Amino acid sequence: MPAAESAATTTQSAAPGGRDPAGWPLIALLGNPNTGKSTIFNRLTGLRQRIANYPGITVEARQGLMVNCGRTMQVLDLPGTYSLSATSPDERVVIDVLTGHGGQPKPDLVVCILDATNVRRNLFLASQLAEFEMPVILVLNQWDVAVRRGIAPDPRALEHALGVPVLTTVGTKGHGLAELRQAICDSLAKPRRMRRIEWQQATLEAGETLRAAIRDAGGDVTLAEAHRIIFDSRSAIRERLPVDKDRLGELVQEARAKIRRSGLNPAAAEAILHYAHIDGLLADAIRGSRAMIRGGDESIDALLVHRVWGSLIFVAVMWVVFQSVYAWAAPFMDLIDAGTSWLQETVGGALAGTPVFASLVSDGIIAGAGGVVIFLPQIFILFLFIALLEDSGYMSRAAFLMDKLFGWCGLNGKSFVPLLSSYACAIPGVMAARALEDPKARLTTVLMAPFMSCSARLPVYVLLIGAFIEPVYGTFVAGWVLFGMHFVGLAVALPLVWFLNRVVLRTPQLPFLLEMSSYKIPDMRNVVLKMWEGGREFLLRAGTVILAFSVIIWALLYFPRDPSVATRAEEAFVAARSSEVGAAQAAAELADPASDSSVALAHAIDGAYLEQSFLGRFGKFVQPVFALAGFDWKITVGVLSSFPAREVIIATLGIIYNLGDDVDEQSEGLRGAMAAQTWPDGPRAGQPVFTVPVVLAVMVFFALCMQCGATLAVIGRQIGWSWAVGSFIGMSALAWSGAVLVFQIGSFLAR
Amino acid sequence: MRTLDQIGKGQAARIVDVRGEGDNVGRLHALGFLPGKIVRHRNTAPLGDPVAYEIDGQKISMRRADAAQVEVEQMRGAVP
Repeated sequence: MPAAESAATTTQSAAPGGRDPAGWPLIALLGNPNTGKSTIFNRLTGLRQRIANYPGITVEARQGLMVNCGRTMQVLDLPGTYSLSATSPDERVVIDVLTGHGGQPKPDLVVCILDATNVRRNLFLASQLAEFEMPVILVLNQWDVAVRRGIAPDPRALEHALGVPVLTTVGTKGHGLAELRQAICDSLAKPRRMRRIEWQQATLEAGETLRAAIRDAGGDVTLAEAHRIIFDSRSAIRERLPVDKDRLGELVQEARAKIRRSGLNPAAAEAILHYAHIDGLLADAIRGSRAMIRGGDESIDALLVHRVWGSLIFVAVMWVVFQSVYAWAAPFMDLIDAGTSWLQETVGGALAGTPVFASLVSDGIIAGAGGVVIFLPQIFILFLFIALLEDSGYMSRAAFLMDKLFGWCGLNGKSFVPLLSSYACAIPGVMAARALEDPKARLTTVLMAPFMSCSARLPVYVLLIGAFIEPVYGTFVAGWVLFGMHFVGLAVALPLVWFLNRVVLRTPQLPFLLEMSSYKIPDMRNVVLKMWEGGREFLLRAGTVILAFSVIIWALLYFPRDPSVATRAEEAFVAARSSEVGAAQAAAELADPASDSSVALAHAIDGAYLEQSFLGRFGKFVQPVFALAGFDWKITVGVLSSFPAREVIIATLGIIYNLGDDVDEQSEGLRGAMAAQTWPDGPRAGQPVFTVPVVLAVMVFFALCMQCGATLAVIGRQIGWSWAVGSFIGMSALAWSGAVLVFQIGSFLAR
Repeated sequence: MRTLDQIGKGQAARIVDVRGEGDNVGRLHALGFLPGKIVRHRNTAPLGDPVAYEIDGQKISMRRADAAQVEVEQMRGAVP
């Protein structure tokens, strides 16, 4: 489908929601959470969709294209919201789009998706929408469930009462979608506006008076916007007005006083009047549609949120999720790893004629791309589980169970899944934090994720504990140290998060209101699309940044590569070998490229190049700073080189200790070489470099440092680059301080 | 006057007022927590907080601190 593809490319380049020259109509989908809105969006647009990012805030509305009655149309899936009071970033985007301030013109048509099993509450949002006097279609989704439970409203009566088309759909099965497409075409040709609430006199006058006053002050708002300003103390509309803040505050107070004098509490007036409007106007249509909690849901909840059984089931579910992200992904990751190595060797071999280019392609680009792709299995698996948990209705129960544990430091129950999965890998964890509506909790969950001990830290722990703790203190202690290392980040992060939320970000916390909707069988189309979306977002948004990091670090490790370094290393090696076995024997060994000596020579040359590289020199230069933590220059270079990806340290140490890069955390050679390291000079000359305090200091450094370009990139995309850079610097400082503290205290105790 | 957080498990109450102004109240209102409505305490989380309430045939959970904003009168006997 070339037409559709070229159309999709066009939107890719357009600003979020920006109308393109073709003049495609913009259709916005609006609705409460859990109405099946996204399923309908997926049905309408198929895979021709992407996430439209709104600059400066962490809200993502999905945008897609559909071809309908011979025209291309843009479809915008707005974040699910219960009302138009613009307090959370999600709601802000909704109000901005509806008032034409979302960096785009107003939508040509709003399709408002209602949950047919709970029409009354869902109509509250629709009733607020009606005030904006836009063309509207109402869709009663999950119609089959409502009919089966005998609580379906009468769509004809609704249509008659509201004056707009009312359709019934079963999004998961695609029922009613053809009719919806047709209704969209009809409405674009002949727009119909929804009957709006008739405010009682005082509210109407208050709105008109405020509107006139704003106009006098040089602003311009509609009556609907004026009412939003009166009813929402922090409305997004309010901030956009060119009116002096204090003056506007007075005007709003006057308007609210007018409403109060009419006998209504202005805080509650809007909801009371809208619900009265809904109840009065729709008495006939929703008479038989009184929503109620299903007995089945009640029985499931009796088990799933039970004090004992609910907690046990929760632990079991989370264990499965964690194990899957951790273990199921492993074979795929190994496969990607093997594929990357194979490609590196093949391409490196083919380009052997130009060593610089060969190294750039195989060690810089292919290694970098492999380092991106390797996270895909974990992202897919985590998003599979998140989609299943969300669509089934269990996620809100999990948040309910966990909320108390997280509330004290400003997080909430929904932080649990992102943080748990960060123990496997922070990247899917950061991405999963999108599910948190409360902006403060979302921000802090993202900032906390890289402190969780991800699986890339494990090789470092295994190497150091295996080489230095286990031989001295035994397996039992080694196991406990490994276990304890997994909590270092958490223990440091929790007080910081508390401090950040209670002292730094002193914006009020939103109430943690959680709808515990009916249990459902997940819609597999939705599940697969969520996985696909997670993977694609990661590749598109983070992949490029990670690749760039990887190439930069490669260059710092490769250049300047003065050939005299190799010559000197070779001379030194030959001299040393000659003095051991005689010059003739040494020359004979080196004549055979497969001999142990030749391999050792190649490793020695690699080591010398690394030492003389920009990063190697930089490492030596800054080593005094790390000396406070007991690091020699080799550890320092290893630590610095692993900033783009912490697992790289193993290979770097292999090169530094002249063992080549083909070592892993179990290598006896690497463990032996590290144990044999002694300080060449200085106060500790002759003593081993790796003492227990040094080993612990290195591990604490890794536990607290964000040595992961991929995480940095994902955080930057998610909550903004200033936060990403800030947390990177903050974590680096914490890691250094932690390492210094551990080393100094450890050395003092060991004395 | 009792508040919603004081209503025990399984018990129902009628909302008298949702105190306070601004965003928090607005959210409760949008979900249907309005004067005259009947609310029932359905579930308590294992650690005692939050609490899940039934209102208008839907289940909404909230922290006790937020429920304390809702003034109620306890209902005895049969609840419609």
